[in-house]
Amino acid sequence: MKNKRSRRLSGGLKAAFSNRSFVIGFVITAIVVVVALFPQVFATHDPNALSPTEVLAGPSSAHFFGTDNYGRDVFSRCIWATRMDLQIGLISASIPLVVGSIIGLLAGFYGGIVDTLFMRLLDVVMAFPFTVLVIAIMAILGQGIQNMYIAIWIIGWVAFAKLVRAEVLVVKNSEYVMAARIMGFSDRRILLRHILPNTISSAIVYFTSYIVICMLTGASLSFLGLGVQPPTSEWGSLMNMGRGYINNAPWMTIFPGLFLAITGVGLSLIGDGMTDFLRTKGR
Amino acid sequence: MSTPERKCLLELEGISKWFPRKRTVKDAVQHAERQYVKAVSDVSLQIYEGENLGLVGESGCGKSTLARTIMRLYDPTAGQIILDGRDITRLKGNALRQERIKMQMVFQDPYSSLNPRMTVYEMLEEPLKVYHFVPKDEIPQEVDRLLRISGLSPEIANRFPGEFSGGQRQRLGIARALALRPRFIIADEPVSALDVSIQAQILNLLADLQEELNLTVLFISHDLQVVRHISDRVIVMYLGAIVESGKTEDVFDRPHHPYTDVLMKAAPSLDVDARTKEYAIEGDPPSPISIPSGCKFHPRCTRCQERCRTEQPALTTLPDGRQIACHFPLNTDSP
Amino acid sequence: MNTPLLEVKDLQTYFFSKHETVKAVDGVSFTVNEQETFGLVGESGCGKSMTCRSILGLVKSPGRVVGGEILYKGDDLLHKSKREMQAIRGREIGMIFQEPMTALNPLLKVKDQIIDALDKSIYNTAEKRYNHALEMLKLVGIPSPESRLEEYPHQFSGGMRQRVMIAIALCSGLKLLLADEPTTALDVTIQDQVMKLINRLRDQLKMSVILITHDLGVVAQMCDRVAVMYAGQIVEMTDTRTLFHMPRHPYTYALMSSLPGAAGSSQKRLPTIEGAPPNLANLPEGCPFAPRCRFAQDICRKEKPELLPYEGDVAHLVRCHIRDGRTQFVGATAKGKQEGGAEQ
Repeated sequence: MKNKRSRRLSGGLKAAFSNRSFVIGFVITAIVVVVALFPQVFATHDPNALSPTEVLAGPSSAHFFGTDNYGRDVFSRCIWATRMDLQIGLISASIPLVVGSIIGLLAGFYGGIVDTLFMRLLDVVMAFPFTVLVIAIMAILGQGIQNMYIAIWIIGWVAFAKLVRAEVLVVKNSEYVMAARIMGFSDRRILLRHILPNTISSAIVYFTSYIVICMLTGASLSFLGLGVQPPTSEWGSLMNMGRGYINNAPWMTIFPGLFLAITGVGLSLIGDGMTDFLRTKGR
Repeated sequence: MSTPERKCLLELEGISKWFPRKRTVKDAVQHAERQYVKAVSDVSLQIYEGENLGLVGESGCGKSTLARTIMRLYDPTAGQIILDGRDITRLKGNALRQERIKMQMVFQDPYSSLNPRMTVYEMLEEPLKVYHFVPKDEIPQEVDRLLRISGLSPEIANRFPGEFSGGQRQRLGIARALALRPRFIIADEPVSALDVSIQAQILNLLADLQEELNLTVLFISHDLQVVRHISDRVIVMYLGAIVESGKTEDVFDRPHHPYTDVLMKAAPSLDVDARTKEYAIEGDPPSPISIPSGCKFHPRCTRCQERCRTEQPALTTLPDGRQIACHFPLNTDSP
Repeated sequence: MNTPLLEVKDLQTYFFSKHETVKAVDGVSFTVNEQETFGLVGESGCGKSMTCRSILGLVKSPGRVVGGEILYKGDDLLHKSKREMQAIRGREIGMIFQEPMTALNPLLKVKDQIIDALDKSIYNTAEKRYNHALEMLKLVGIPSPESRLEEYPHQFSGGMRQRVMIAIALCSGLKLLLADEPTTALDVTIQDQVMKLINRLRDQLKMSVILITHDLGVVAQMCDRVAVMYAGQIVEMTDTRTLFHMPRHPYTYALMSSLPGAAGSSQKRLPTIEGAPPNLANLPEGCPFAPRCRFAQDICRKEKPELLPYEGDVAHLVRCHIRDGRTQFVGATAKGKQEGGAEQ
């Protein structure tokens, strides 16, 4: 049965690439990832090189996006920031995806007191706005990127757990799970082979938009001076720096914002496309 | 039943399944008694080896709950389940697993009963692998065999359930149920979601398999004609209890219980000239939360008398082996 | 009695996608007379529901009515504007569905849902409207209607919900009721009640009914005339009694004999129709039923048959090439009825 996996994969890819929003999102995201992997190829200048003669210069052929208050090239800084932002998005979103899904899976499948406890905890966490909670936790842990990750992890699993649990509650009563139980399969097998593959899709779709949320949170924390510390370039901190010059050098704020927006749109389109074809594939 | 030479494969002794209702804060404050949905109450029956036993009733009569309780998907509130001479009511873990694979189930909805993310091969291979049912290198042949006896082409093994029609999916469900070579199959409304022309194919397949593999079948359906066609014996349930049972022809030709009679009158006849204006029965079945006193059927029964309101009729066995729970049965001289 | 209320002529409803065109309704013609129940019977995907949606102008994209006429009292509904159709739906032609819960608003009391459907110019005071709503619930036989008017849909059982749906559909004096599998989701005893209720209301309110169903038993108990559909086309159309006693199309015949109980219970194997209905996007060249037909001959695989009167009887239309060999299976039906055994 060698062709089994490849057949499944090709079937999945075919469905994915016949979906327009997925394709557009995929192209945008792929470009962003390439930029993040090889910033040196795209950057025209050293992002940290100061050039006192060219302070706050407008966009030109030498500096596509102009320069900042130290004369650094905004375009190159935005390019280098891509790596940082993507890293923030991925690291802060993947742990919650994994942990939240596992919790949701177990809580939904076994129910009972553990389920009740987790769900109440979840209600408490959900009662506060996401960013406010992250800031509160960072206020305890102190600033810095590691602490920012930890803060997002502490809160992030909640949404995934809730999503997966809701799906598990439906799927665990489905007739094919009942059939698996009648066959006497172990809980582990039922969870991994029968329930997980049929419940994870909404979590994965949410994951794409959650990366965007994390990037935005990272950016706003940097904007507030809590997250990434200068001189590392990060879109949020770039915008923060530009804030003081918004009247005479708007390019310092606009272009990092644009990068952030485009990446966000790309990931959201992937998520949208996935919602479409994962749903239809179910039947 | 009066066939002592036949071996009893499954026996239920006073099986009940009550689901507790969630208590509200108000209930707790008022110290209200906990309420139960009495899905199945005190059901006793025997299923003999090789027979096809039909189980008939309307939605909410407890037939699916009974099936799931037999399968030990639910723990019975009371009673005993004896499978092949062994009490499996309290078995757990591995012991339960070993006994339970003698029984399998075919489900109603051919769409929700197959895992959409497993290929046909993976689905059929899984139980064989888990139980080491056949040597590893013989698994592909065994999967082929299962597909063939279910009337499917072995070439479809690498496809996903979503690519099949309802009838083919129901065949897949049957192939899966046969994988562990069970002796007893519960078919829960296996044809009611299918089109008429496909329904006949599946009924024929079930009848053939039952004969070839010497299966015992509990066939659950709301469709009297289907049960009449396929079952040797039939049990009629109302509000969680058996009201009548007996040989199929006997029950359908001369129903003793007024409810059986109503069911038969209500089923739309193919006879164009048999139209009537009168309802077979008025009203809806009562909820299984507040079951009427006395005979459960009395509020809707046209033959209801004072005794029916207060005294619950016991399920009594008549000399010819039929069972009935009614104070004033139809078509009989000896109540 | 014999003036047609609705005349559907050569209706074609197609679904378009990038790769294929699905001919869901492919040249369907029939008439519905005043005060009759007309049945559209067939298996899932045969186009019966789509025919019904086309009549009401409810075909959703990517589907489109591409040809034909739907004459209601002589006016072509296909040429009506959206607003005119809205006025006709609910006032003149109403519809009830298989699952009433999805068609009722769960957040509104039953009273308000009935009142919303009333013509405000006729029922111009709140009292008149309330009284009419009460009247409608009584008409459809809901016990203690005063208190039930104040309840929400979820407090009703399936059968009662279907009655509420009927009450809403009928409250403004319909002339034509389209009933799409109205009893399929219901238990036998409730199905029996709803069937008889629709029969009674049809006579009482002097309306016509188009009944869409897959259940031949329901047809036998409700319809005056029937059209059997297969692969988007009518294959046989006649009055109900003739259809059940002398089916002339092999599909109708096969459908009837494959029903358990139709040929007697002594028979262990049911006669089946082998295979599955064809893909509507890729129909065979000849008769769409030919690949599954026991009587198929060469001509059936090459040429599409026309819907023609059977032996000159204009009230009995059959779409089949084979017109002489028919005695073969008609004999088999009679035999099946007597001896309880038809040949495989």
